[in-house]
Amino acid sequence: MVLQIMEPGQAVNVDTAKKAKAVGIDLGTTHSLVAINDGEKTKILEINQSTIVPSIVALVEEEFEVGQAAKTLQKNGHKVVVSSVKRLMDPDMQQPSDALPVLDYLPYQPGEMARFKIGERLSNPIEISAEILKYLKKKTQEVLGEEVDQAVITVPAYFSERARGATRLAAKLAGWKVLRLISEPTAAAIQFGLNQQKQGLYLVFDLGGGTFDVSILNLENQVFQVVATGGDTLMGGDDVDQLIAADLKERYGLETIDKTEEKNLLAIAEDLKKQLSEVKTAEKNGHFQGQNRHFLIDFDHFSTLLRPFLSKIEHLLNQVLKSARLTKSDIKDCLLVGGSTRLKPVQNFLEKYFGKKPLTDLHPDHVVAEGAAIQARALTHGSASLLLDVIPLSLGLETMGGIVEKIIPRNSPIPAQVTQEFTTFQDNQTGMSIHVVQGEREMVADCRSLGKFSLKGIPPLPAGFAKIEVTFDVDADGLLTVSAQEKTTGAYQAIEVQPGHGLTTDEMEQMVFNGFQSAEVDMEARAKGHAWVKLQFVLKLCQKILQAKKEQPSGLADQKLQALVDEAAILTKEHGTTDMFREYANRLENYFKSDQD
Amino acid sequence: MSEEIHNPFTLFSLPHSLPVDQQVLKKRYFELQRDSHPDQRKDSEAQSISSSLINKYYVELRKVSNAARYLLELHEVDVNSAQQDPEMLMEIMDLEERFSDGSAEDVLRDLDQKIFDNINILNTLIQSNKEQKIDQEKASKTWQKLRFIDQLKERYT
Repeated sequence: MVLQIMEPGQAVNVDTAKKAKAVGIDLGTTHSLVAINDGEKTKILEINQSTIVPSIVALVEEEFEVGQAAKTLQKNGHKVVVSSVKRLMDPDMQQPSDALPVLDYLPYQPGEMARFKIGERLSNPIEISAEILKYLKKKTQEVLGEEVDQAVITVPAYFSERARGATRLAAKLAGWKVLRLISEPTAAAIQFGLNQQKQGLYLVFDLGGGTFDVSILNLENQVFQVVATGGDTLMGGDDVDQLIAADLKERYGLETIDKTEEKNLLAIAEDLKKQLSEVKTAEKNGHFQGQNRHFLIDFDHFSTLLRPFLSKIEHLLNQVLKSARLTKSDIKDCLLVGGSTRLKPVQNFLEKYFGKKPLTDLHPDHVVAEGAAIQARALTHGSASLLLDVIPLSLGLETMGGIVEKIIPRNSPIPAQVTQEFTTFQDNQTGMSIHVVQGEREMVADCRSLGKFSLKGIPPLPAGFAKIEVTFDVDADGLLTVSAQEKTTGAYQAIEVQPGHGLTTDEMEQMVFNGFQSAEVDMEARAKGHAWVKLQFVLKLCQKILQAKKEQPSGLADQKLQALVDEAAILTKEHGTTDMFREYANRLENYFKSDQD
Repeated sequence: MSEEIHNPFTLFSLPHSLPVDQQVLKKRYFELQRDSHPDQRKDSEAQSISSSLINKYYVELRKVSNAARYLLELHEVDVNSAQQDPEMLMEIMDLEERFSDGSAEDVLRDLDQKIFDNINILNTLIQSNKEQKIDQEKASKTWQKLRFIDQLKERYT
């Protein structure tokens, strides 16, 4: 989690990068690459005779194997293998069990990091990601013959703050000093723009194995201005494999296959998919339920299968264009990035959508790492080019009733600083809870919680008199700092971080490596806080209703509601439980609703 | 420098009139960020205007009602001073209704015309300010109308 809480006025410590070598890393869902730029040329590092390192980790006798070795183990049926871990970097994004059907998951709540057993070991996505990054670091050193520890790492444009935080942490654990996390489509545009000296508005269409990103960039005289960005962090070529596998199951009567066979079928689906970029009809043999099978699929059927997938893509494209206030015709060219853009139906769809062929002259696998390497060079040695980035998701605060007040809307250019004034809602209120959230929805419950802290020492004043200034500061790195100060006293107030909320990197590290105990407490505390705030809100409402009823001339006191309110009011934050808060809030709410009818 | 901090028009070297030329704005925006963006680390620590302030003004000047507000405030007009005009509210409701009826393109053209008209009124008011005190009431009313139309347009495009 990349939320730094600090006292107002305290200077942020900026590390100045030395003019040492720095690399660009494309940390992909299915494979990773490392590239370096020497000021003129960019090259992809060859690791074990290949530019591509599978993002796969296997556990062999308590030792981690990474990359090709792990992939080979996976092929040979080794059980303790983890792949596609990038899909799990955001604890708020669910559906991992679909993404990785064979992993042994432990049950976990939304908002917690995924946990899984590899062998006898308990592990998590950050640890696995760190193993991949450690391996890349070791190999980089071997190839370049010197130690390199600075890197620009790419992430999907639509990665949330939490997923970015998790990526940073993984890099730190692997010994990398992260110069910057940049978006994958942006990295591609940098490579494209610098190499080809292009000007104008370009849409980067980045469809990888597990993520889908769309970014619109304005390229002008070596300025790379990100105009808008959008996407889906759980959509990619893997979904196409699933679609084909589901179709094969249905057509060949394989609905009842077990987990291992399921995995084999997915591999066959992937193979058929790849064949269909070259041929009209793809075929493959397999052995299922004791029988040899011959699988066949033709291009037209494949295109039909992809229809729902393509309409999802169309919807996202429309959304991004709309948020940039642009139309299809404003886009000069559509650039293809990511291995899954090799799919012919996707290319055909884009040609139809934009009315012209998408540009396929970028190397879909290499371009992101190359762009990252160029940016790494620029950040360590200075450069004539300039990248102007935006925040991908809106940042806001929780206000009364669980409603989100957006402070910095998505697609705002960064760095950005916005100060907003808030006030107290109760007489003599001396504290205020500040809950920072990320997302586009109106209700806190539908957004992602980034952290919570409280401002204390507000002078006792009538409701609405205190002036609390909350400042959101997003630096060029996309890192968010939130500070709050009370103005009427003229003095700055220190901010207190609530214990049990993993807000700093150190805390997060502890959270990750202490067997997740603190994470559980964290979640509980958060859930409890939520329930408490909600109950207080409902209580206030009910008290108002009771008061209003008393004041009516025919005033019959509502004794049933009064009793319920009294009961609920006895509950204290310290001694009540989350369930109790929830129960009373629900009962009061239901009573209130039925009363209205 | 302190004037530039409070006056985005001076910061972006724009003429003090409406509407803001978006091409000039963008060009100047890139120039300013070249000097101020934290990635363009200069050895001399003479940090000029903060990159986030440039971003803030850039975003605001792209919206005509925000640009107008800055300009009026420079001429000491409190844009919120006027009472809400019931006539204007009727007009707005009428426009909203036409949008929901589905004749969006016609209405958008109407909105653009209205924006143009109100901008002209404001420009005239600002220019007359050189000789006499600006008509607060009229300026504020016109701005409120402009903002409503601007927001309406944003919602429907």
